Amino acid sequence: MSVSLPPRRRFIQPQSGDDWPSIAARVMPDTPVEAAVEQLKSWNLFLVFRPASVITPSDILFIEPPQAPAGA
Amino acid sequence: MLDLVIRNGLVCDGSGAPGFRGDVAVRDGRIVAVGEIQAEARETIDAGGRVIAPGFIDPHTHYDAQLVWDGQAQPSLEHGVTTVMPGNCSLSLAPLRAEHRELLGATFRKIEEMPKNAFDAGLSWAWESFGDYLAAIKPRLGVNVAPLVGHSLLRLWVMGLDARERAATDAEIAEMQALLAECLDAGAVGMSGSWVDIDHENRPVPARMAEPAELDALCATLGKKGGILQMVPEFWDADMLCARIDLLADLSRKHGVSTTFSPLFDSNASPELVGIALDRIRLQTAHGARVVPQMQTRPIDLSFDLGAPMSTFATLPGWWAMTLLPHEEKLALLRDPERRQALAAEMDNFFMPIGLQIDFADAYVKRMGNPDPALMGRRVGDLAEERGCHIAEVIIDIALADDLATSYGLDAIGHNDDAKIATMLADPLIGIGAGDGGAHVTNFATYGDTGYLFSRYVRGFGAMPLETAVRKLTHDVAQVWGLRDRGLLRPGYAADVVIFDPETIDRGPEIAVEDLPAPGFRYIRRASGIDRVFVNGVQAYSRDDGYAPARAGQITERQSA
Repeated sequence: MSVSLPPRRRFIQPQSGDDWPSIAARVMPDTPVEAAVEQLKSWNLFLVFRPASVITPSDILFIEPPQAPAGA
Repeated sequence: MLDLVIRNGLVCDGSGAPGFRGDVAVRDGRIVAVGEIQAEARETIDAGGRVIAPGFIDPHTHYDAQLVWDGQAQPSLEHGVTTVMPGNCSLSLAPLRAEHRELLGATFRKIEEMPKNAFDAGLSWAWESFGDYLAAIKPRLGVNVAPLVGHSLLRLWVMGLDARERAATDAEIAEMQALLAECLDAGAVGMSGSWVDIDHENRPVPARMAEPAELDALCATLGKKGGILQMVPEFWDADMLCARIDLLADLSRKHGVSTTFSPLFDSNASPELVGIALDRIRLQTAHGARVVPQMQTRPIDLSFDLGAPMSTFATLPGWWAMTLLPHEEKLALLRDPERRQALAAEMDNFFMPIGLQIDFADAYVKRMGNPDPALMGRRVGDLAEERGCHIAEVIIDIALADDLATSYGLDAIGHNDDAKIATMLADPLIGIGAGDGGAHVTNFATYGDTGYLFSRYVRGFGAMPLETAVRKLTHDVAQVWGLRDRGLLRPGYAADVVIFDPETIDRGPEIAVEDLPAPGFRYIRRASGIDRVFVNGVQAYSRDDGYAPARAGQITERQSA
């Protein structure tokens, strides 16, 4: 059964050989890579500040900011 | 002639149907009749005033090592648990080549917090394959075992040390699929993985180096064989948890597998998280997915000491490094004024990023090698005030005077809003689990969640009927994990039976016992209100006689096997 439900917050999983610039170029093609990387990192601080600061193949990366809390 | 009749009890058969006064008959390890039974039996037990229920099933344990030296999985059995699932969180002890034992052992001990001396003394390592591991533990089993095989182990077997470094090739994935099928044929009920765990060298466990296509392929194998997938997600963050729920739901629908994740717990650090996750699971369930979150019944209590590396210190690099040192070097460091100052400064900036609320000032002196009555039970923050020093110095000085044998307690640091948790546990989507039996042995007692469900949430809060609580601990688990003939009191089912007093069943206080295969202790809880426990028709535990010598435990079978 194939079901596509809108995610709570849009995310991707890295592809083979991905790093921050390649992900940024793919998901934010209209933004200069350096700015896109900074944007992506700001949405994925758990990856930036983890003890071993690497993206693993099983990670998820958010490609949009978190929703504002209800009532904010 | 029957082997056993248990008469005149309140039969809660595991289905959740209203209990009824009746008898349960057993022959050759199987239930043969439930109701009013006239036939004679070699043994008759009067269960008047007691509940007769299927044996409880604990879906989240790390008994992999303990089962090698203790086939009764003590003290789970006395809490009514007749079936345990080891092998969670991507870690089992097989299949494992001899050359990887040290690496896997270090990883296992770090993540599941087990003392090295007990691990080394207790494990015979008389196996490499999954089937040989099961053959090694089987003769001693007093409980049933429904093992998971760890994804990290599959990777290590196929890829060697590259499993820690990279994604797998198509050929390696195919080899892992074949190995998983072999493990499932040997008796595994499914596979476990992790998106979170880090090893003893602070590296992601091998399972985390898998690309989505690898997990997808392994789930295809699980789907063909009827195995379950267990995962550890980023349980402390609602957005990440919902993303993982979506991934599990996709795998569940695509391959027809049941999936489960653990833990799901409530915390004041993220009070809306459980509700958000449940909404997501409800949505995915309505669209045909099977994603079962596991929630523990007990509040999160934690103990720590300076003698061994503990996850409590995972985000305090200086403290973590200190606990890794040999004993004498550790003592020297803890006496060094500059290093003490650095440790104190680090503690001032402590942050626990996984939803727990820890304030070291609230730690109390819980256990000492040489107990000092003036210190036992005292709060570290109060002692620091009295002494006019930093809390870190109190923790260090008391430990130093006790040759680092002092254990500090931190109680109710999460999952402790009982009224809220009562509602959560009653939700049909939530499974009872995440108990962690056999792990974290000096950090907290992972036992007695079954009794606590009845004492706190059935009797105390009236959150659910007795029959529902029994169903959640029995049939619900057996159904999701696909266990054949377990979890119900029905003719033809295995005679796993617990007889308990619904008015007194409970977990006892946390106590330290020295029953490991090497010097050291672990925290456990004794049960109360459990009269007798039968495993496959054989009495395995009774309140009056304790643990029986019988070894009637089995490796369970999957529905689809």
